[in-house]
Amino acid sequence: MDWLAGAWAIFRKDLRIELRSRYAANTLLLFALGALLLIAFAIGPQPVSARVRAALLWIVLLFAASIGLGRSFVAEYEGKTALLLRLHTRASMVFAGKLLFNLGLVGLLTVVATGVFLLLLGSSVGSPGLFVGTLALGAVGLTGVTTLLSALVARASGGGPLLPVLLLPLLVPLLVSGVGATRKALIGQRWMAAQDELLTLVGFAGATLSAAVLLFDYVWDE
Amino acid sequence: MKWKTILGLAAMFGFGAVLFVNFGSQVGGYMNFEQAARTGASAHVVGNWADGRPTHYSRAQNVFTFYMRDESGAVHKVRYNNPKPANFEEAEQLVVQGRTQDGVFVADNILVKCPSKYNETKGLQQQASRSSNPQPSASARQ
Repeated sequence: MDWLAGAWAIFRKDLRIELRSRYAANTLLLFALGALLLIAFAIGPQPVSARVRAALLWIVLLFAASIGLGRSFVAEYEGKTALLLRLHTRASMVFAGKLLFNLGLVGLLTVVATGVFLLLLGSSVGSPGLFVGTLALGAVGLTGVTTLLSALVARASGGGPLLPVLLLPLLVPLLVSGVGATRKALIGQRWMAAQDELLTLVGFAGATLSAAVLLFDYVWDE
Repeated sequence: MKWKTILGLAAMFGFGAVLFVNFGSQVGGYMNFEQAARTGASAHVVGNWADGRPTHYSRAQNVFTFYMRDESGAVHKVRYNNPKPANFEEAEQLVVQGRTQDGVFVADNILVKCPSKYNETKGLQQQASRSSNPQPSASARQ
């Protein structure tokens, strides 16, 4: 109960800071909207194959996340509040709170970016259930890796640009299976057809989250 | 603390196994014709020329068709929009890369694995390879 309350307090603290400054949400959404708008202009009125559409959507999501999610740990070090958190809470609480906060941000990003994407490229979704399931699983995996790596990178001086460099190679399995499953959802195949991709996404989310839980103590405590 | 480590490692390896088993089947590896038809995407199929069946090359359309037996033993028609690859009859293994369209496997590329020239003279080959580059036994031909 104590642990949950601590994690929840950290989540609420981050949410309150975010609602005042809107730094991360602005970065994420402006990047995603800008990129999608440029993609729509660049493609023009010709129809694009489902694979290309799925790939474009996922690339926008991954880059937006790698740019916008690094902030919350950097802010703790810049504001000199990291030491305070270390004194008063355990590492796992900090991780759970930040993870929840980042999950909220990625959720917001995914919903907005996907909505705009469907609107701008005028594409219909063949099987909405599979589409939503794929994006949800992908968002969980993306959040797990990004949270751990952003904690790691925040310790390095001038580590901001380091996050995409470290993150993108790790995201290759997520990208490949996310694009595969999204393509199948766009052309209207059933859940069973995307079984391999969905299981890969589940495995990716589970493996990265459990690795993050194990490793975060070493990243956070000196 | 100990608990968490054991549980975490178990979860990591469990999910990691799920990830690799399912990811492997998506990105690479060879398939048979049935799996290739099911994915609908570009696939590599490994097998042999079904040499009882006729091959055909149409010079006018530049299309080479033959029948190939994959590893599961199923025989499938393959179309290749190029002339017949060299050493096709001598090949001990074929790898076709392409996708299934209207029940025919349309290959973009055929890899022909030929028997090595040096199988009988292994000792000589080792001596020769010290002084010069060894001949590759498998070669890709368009």
